[in-house]
Amino acid sequence: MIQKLHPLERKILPFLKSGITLTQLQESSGMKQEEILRAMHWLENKEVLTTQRTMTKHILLASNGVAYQKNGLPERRMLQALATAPMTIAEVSKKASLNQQEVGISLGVLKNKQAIIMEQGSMQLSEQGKALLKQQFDEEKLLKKLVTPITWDVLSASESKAAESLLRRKDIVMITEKTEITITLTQLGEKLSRQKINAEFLDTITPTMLQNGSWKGKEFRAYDVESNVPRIVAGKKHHYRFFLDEMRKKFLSFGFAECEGPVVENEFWDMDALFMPQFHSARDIHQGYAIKEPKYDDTLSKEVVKRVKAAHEHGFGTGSKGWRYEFDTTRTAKYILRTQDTAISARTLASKDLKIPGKYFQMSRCFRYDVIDATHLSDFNQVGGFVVEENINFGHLKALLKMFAEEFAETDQIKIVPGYFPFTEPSAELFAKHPDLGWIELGGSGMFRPELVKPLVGKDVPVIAWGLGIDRIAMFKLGLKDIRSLFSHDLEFLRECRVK
Amino acid sequence: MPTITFSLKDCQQLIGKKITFEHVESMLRNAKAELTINGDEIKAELGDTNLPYLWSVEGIARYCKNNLQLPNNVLHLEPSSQNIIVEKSVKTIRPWIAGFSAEGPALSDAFLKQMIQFQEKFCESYGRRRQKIAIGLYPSEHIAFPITYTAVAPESITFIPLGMQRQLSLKQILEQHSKGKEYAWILEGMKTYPLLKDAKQQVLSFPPIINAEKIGKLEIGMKHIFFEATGTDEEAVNLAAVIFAYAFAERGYKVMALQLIQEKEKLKTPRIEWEKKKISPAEIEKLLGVKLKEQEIASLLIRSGYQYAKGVVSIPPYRTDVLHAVDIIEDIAIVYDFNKIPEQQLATATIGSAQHIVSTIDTARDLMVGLGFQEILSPFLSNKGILTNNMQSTEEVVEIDNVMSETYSAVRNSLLPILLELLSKNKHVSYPQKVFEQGIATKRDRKVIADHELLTGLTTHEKANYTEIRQVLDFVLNMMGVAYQIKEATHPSFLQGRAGKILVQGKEIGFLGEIHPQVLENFNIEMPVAGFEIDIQGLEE
Repeated sequence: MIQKLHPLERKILPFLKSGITLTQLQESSGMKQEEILRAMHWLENKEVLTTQRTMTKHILLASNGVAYQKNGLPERRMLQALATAPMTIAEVSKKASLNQQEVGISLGVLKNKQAIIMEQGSMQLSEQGKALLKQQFDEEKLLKKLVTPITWDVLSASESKAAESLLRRKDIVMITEKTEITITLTQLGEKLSRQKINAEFLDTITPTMLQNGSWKGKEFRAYDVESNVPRIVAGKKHHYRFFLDEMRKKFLSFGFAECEGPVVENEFWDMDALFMPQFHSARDIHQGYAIKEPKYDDTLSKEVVKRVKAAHEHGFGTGSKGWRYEFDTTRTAKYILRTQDTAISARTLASKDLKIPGKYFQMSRCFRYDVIDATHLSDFNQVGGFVVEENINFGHLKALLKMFAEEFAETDQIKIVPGYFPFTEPSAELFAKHPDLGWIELGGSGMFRPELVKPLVGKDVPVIAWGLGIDRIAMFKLGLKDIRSLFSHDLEFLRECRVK
Repeated sequence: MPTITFSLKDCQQLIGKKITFEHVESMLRNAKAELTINGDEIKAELGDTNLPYLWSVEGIARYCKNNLQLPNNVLHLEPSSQNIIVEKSVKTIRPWIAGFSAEGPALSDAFLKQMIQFQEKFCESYGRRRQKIAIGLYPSEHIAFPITYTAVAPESITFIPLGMQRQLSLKQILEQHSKGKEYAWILEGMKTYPLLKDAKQQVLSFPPIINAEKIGKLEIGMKHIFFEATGTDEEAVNLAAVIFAYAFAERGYKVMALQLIQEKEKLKTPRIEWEKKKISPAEIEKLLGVKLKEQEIASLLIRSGYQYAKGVVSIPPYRTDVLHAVDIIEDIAIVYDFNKIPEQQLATATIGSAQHIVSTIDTARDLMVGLGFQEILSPFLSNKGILTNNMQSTEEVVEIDNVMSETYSAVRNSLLPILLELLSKNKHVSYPQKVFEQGIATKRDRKVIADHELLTGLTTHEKANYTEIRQVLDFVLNMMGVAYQIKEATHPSFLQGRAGKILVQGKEIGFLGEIHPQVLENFNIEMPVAGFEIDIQGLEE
């Protein structure tokens, strides 16, 4: 315990005893008042002592009072001046060196005490006055006593009457109110105060100390390690980016290969390659941002466009009727901001580097034509991908979704329900029961349609496609309520936001 | 996603069984619809935009009856001698028409409301705001058949449109009637407009705009009804007639086919075809991983509204969404129950791999964090004012054409302006402020658009200067083993004489320096800022 005490606490400790006041401590310890107060506060927190605050009223001398204490009160000086012979007011004031105000007051006091008689401009002492020459006034007694301030409460009845009369006069005495702190030691405090304190506790470890070994055989003061310290501003990763980093690691550990695609996409990869018909209302839900310049992508491969066009128009030999309309090859090259990460899946499927069997994923920024509020951003991240392998089916999709739920929502309680996506059949939505939040939608999934797969891959092969609503997952993992805080520009918030 | 409302009581009457809301809700969930109830009124959000036959209570009742294996009202198209003459003049403007007549019980309020609701939802979304499909319903007592579908000059004919009291020409309707103004865009640039009139030359309607007040107003209690749909897509126009014909059959009406007379050709309308598709247990097993017996398949198909015989599935005429066997197999899987399909683990091992650049990106990010920089993640969308004007730059950016909000009207081409904007918003926060962002910026050089993975760092405090940011850059590049040179250079966003370009193997990969005071003023920043921006790709080579 003693080791943990601050030097100030250790310094005051030997002077502490129950009933001692702050004023007394200041005298006995010779420490500054604020030092004592700080030490007392810390010791009180450590339950070494308790404090009691009392207000006390003191009476003390004011400026005139100091002079009168030395030279006597004006009425006494007037009384003494009159002791030998009757005098006029002018004569007496000169003899007793009283100013006009003092003369007035003295006359009033002495008249009151019936000590003087006035006759035809001259005054002289009465019998009573003569007797008073040998007596001390109560006011004088009090004045004499006031070498140091006196607590009001200890004044006798006559003293307090005198005090009141002096208070009515100018600058003789005054009253101050002072807060006094009285200490009571606790049991722990009693014990501590009896202990011998080794004043040789070391504080800061200094290089000198280490070089000359002066610390050896001495003890270091212990700090209060449980109290709070000031915050530091340090470098750290962004909370959402960190979440995405962790997510990528998981997909890599599952054996998925990462894919990428451009931010400014064309309608071909964003929608047409996904077998979403150009005329269809389903395209409304993927409505995106068109760009001003350039309007069209002239780098599209004519060959793959031709195959996708055939799939839209009559099924491309997949056993499908196709959408039976005239595919617009100009519109397909139109630039838009990527509306869905599935665009990257389409590019990967059509790539000459595609491996079957293979597992692929992408983490990408997508854009939605939407008004921004607490639950919608025009700019959002998507994570999705696909698994391509001969002889996989909807049962494999179910197992995959279950694994995602376990890994990302920490639950094995899932619901896989029918859903609708223009590019998958069957389509399923994944719900997971989060321990705190209940049922939440984690993402969508399905088997890519043959009309999508065959033109891109060159043959019909089963493909499980999936996408996860990662903004939502990130928000509940990070405990955020407003989706806008994922891309916040509030530096104070960013500095304080936990990473995990 | 269309949302419709209907009465639970009406739905129960159509089903012929008093089933609960919860039961309807659970069945419709399989049709990708989300239902809520308020009193007797059910609100349904229909997730599958490809199944318009469910956009009215009659279709929903049929779906439930199939599912519950209750008998359906079968649609028998009765023959009739009523004709629609289709003139050649419509070929180039709005070529297709389909229709039928119905006769039966007095039209109920509930049915009328459903028809109006369906017509609105269907023509708006599926019908591309009436351009592709528009629908008209008429009391048929006053119609003198045959009807003629023709095209006429905009001012050659006048009639009283619904909701008005005076005769207007077609041109005037487009200019004055509320529906005319709303849908005039469909007819823009056309020299003649479509028109339906009867044998007595009475105008039925001006499709796709408005019916005639006199004989084009359907009211409760009417028993004889004529339906027509016109449009630019033959299949979609027929689908509209099919869905309505089924709805009338569901309500107990007799539905009569009409003849379309086109030049010398005579065609029956509506075309009710049950398309056939072969399906095998092996195909089903391949997609679902479940072995089903033929009998089981037949029962699942019938409960999904199909017919089945000897390996051949007949597809209901209103299911034009069925393009491939996979569409049918999904319906089988849904009725079979997704939950009953056994999970199967993916057995083939594959090797996980990140994008090659990720390792370089993450190393750079770690070093920046070690230097005390706070990582930032910003939207990709910004605006030209911030990206170019504020930066004193003349670089081209990718701008959005259909802007939703000015704040987000261009794709960022650099992260410097994005981070400067951040600093301008945090002037009340304690200094020094050190921030960095790693991410994609999209640059445009005339017709070429390319994404770049950038790393950008800024430091700002009273003494922020070139030396400090140079130290940061030196540390990052040296620790990554990159051999580089700094050459003095001019950059509009940096102060001349305190800016340099970063060269790796003679190729410029980025910039560093003190941000120009004018740029700081543009961002309303009153603290010196030094920064750098590098293209990560340049560190890879």
